[in-house]
Amino acid sequence: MWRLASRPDVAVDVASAGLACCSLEVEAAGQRGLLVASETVPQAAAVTVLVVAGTVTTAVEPALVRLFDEHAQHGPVIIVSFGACATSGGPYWDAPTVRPGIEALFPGQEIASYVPGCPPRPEALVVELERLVDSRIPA
Amino acid sequence: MTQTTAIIDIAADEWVAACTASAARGCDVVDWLTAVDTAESLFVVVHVVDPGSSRSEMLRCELDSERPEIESITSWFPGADWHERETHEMFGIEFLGRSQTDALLMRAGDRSSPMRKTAALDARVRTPWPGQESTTGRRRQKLPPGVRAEWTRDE
Amino acid sequence: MSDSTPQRNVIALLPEACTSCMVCVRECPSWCISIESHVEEVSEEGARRPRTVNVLDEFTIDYGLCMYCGICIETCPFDALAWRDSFDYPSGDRQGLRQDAVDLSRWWTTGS
Repeated sequence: MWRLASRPDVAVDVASAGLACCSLEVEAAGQRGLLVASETVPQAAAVTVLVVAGTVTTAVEPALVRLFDEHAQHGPVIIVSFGACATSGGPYWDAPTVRPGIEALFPGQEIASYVPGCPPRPEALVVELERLVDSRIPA
Repeated sequence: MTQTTAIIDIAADEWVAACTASAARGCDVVDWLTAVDTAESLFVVVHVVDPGSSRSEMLRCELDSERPEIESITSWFPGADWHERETHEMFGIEFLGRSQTDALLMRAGDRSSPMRKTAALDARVRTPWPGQESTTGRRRQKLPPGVRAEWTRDE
Repeated sequence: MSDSTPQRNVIALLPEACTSCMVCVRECPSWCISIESHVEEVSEEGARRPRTVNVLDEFTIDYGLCMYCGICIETCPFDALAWRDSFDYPSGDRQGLRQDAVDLSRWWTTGS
């Protein structure tokens, strides 16, 4: 789990469902110091941002929903669709074993943001996370 | 590999003999084994390498596309096991003389052989193709790239 | 951003160069481009008969589907499409990633 390096006082955990290549861009954000490991930050997070990063296959769907449910036990969850696969199935939209996007996957929960890219740059994730945090999480 | 490896065509009843002969010449490790469906024909292809040198050989056998089967080479090339399982699942080719194993990548019981040209990709048939639009209003009969006419025949 | 090499972050459109030939639409592997157009007759002084021209009505790229392969840019016979650097264009809803000719032409001049 990560925290936003640029928002050190904001208690929001960034959890990544790293399903495919997009997960490497999330990791790169960590490597570039834009995200920091949440273990290094003392205070517990009140809100979780779940970044779905990669292709959602029909086999993996139930596990992804369970992941969301587990995070939702601890507080509000903001969902970000990161990259073309999470948004629409991406290049694999036509595959019978691929879910063409996460729009309706989480019951009763809207997707807060769709970040375009195949994959998006790490900076694209961080800029949007900062925007979400600034607009939705009280300082 | 800087040179192109020549493809040697083998008759089905000589498949095992040809593969073991390659091994005797030093190419005793399977690099990969797969199938190629050109719509006109169905082939199984194996690339065997000599790990001590840069030598390799590529062997190909044309199969009956209605009932594709060929002898398994896993008794002589244990490394071919995963490849034969995957090729069986993706192309529906029976590899004779090997134990039938559980599904590798597909759901159990799925016999759709998705890599065959005859396996219709429904999403590309059902979804309207933006390329169907025409400036002049005259309907183009052309199919989207990759979509085969026989997939749409049942529509 | 640290690197100055041109980036492949968004595809921009120069509408006045587009003839609605539809090559990009048909070549796109993701089927993420759509074009609407109509035909008009243009009379010219001294010409024996009117010219028939395509008029572009709408050009859309669905950036939720786009895989940034660049085939559209490579195949456009009129250089009406090009890469630009801008990467920050997320949307709060799925529909917001479908960019029209106004959005796409804005990248041409401002996408750096």
